[in-house]
Amino acid sequence: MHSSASDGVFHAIADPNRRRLIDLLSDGEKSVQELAQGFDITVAAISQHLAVLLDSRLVSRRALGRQRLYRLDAAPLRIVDEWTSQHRRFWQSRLKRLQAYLDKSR
Amino acid sequence: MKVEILLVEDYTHPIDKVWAAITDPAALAQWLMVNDFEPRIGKRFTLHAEPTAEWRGWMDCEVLEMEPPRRMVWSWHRSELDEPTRVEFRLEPSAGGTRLTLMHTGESDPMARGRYSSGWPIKLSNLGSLLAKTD
Repeated sequence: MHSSASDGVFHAIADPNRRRLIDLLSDGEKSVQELAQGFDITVAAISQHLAVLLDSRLVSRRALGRQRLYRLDAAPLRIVDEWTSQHRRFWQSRLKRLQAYLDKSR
Repeated sequence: MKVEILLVEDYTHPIDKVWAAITDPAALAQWLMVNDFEPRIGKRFTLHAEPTAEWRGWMDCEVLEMEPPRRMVWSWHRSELDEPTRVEFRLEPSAGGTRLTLMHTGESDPMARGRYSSGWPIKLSNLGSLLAKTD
């Protein structure tokens, strides 16, 4: 994966509103209007956040009649998951060893 | 952006004992890695494990914060080429003993990320063999 592509993903998920959009889209395709119902910010602001998500390829868009529907593609999130899963496994194994250490030195 | 791991473990041991296990070099060697740790702020130490094809075999660390027996923060630097990360241990008394919260926070720097993703030298050490060896 090119670093520019992964930068885009990290930039995309760095914003809480965009993470919220990702959450909402995880239920399925939605229009901007449907997405806007869950936010206090303007439709225009949501469109800007969606543009960032489109750039990062986390979200794709298709036209349905006069509507545009947004859909989540979670595959790029894997690079975020890699860091966390590697470290999580490391610490989980070590904390089990800490448990064993504590138990035997009771 | 920061990426964070948060793990919570409950141990059936008093907080002072768990604190000792995470601040005593001999104890750390048993469950974490071989080390030259000392429990004082500013102490630079290394954690050693077996080198791998993509890792030199030690972490450069420093004690950043220490509030016995509740909180300790280390910097955690995997290699010269990686961004330093941050490891925080928090202890609190719980009904059955002690709750440990571990946070490992990393930078999203793509270079470092590439190396991390190529594999941590995870020694999923067999718990049984560790116990057998030290009993």
